[in-house]
Amino acid sequence: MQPSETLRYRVSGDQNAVGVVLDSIDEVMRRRGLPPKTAYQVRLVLDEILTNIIEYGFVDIPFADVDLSLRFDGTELRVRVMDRAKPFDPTACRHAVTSGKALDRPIGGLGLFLVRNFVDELHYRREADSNVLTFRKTLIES
Amino acid sequence: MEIQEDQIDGVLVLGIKGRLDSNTSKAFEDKVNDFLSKSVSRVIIDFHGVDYINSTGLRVLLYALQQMQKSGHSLVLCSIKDYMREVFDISGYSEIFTIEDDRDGALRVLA
Repeated sequence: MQPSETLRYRVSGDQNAVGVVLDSIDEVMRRRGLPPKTAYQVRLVLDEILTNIIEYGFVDIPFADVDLSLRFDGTELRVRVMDRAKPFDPTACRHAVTSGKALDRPIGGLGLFLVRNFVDELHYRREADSNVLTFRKTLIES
Repeated sequence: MEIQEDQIDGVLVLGIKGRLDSNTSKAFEDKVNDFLSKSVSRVIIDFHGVDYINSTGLRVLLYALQQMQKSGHSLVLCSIKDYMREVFDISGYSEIFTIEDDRDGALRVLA
């Protein structure tokens, strides 16, 4: 069993910065021997959360770095994302359309639906001027 | 991300290599708009080289399918890696897209 480790990142406001952070986390997961499916799901969840914050959270306010911390602990991953974007609760989201004919489906709306599907717990709270999102995901470590 | 184009038996086959995410979705969408504007009637998107897709990539796929359906044209996906299939299933994409295990299977569907 791999020892526990905590990673911290500050993510600046562009998609390239998100990619760099995700690549770094990919490398940690590879080193920890996580299977491809788990590594993919973790990257996807973080990608959707961070992209959402960066694309929508700072539309009319100055950008502030997003703080990301991850703890790999045995069979669990716990993550906290803190940002000073506009208040936004990803747990209270509109329904994604995942059935029916293609032409009847709206483009978009899948990002947070995928997040909710690939984590075991997701919590949001607003603290002063910050959004705080935490999630837990059970991993299967080799 | 790279997109390789091949013509096989009158079918346009797009072989994508790399990630379909927010950084690459514009290039992907441009390629889609390219074949839509040429009214290509049979297209295969081959995911053999795709190691990652997020909601942005999925969005472009749905857009491509909607436009192809409006024109009565056919779009087939193939070779999606096992660890990504679940995303297609839970998004309800497996219901609306024809997804084959490999390129030969996709070509047979469109023959």
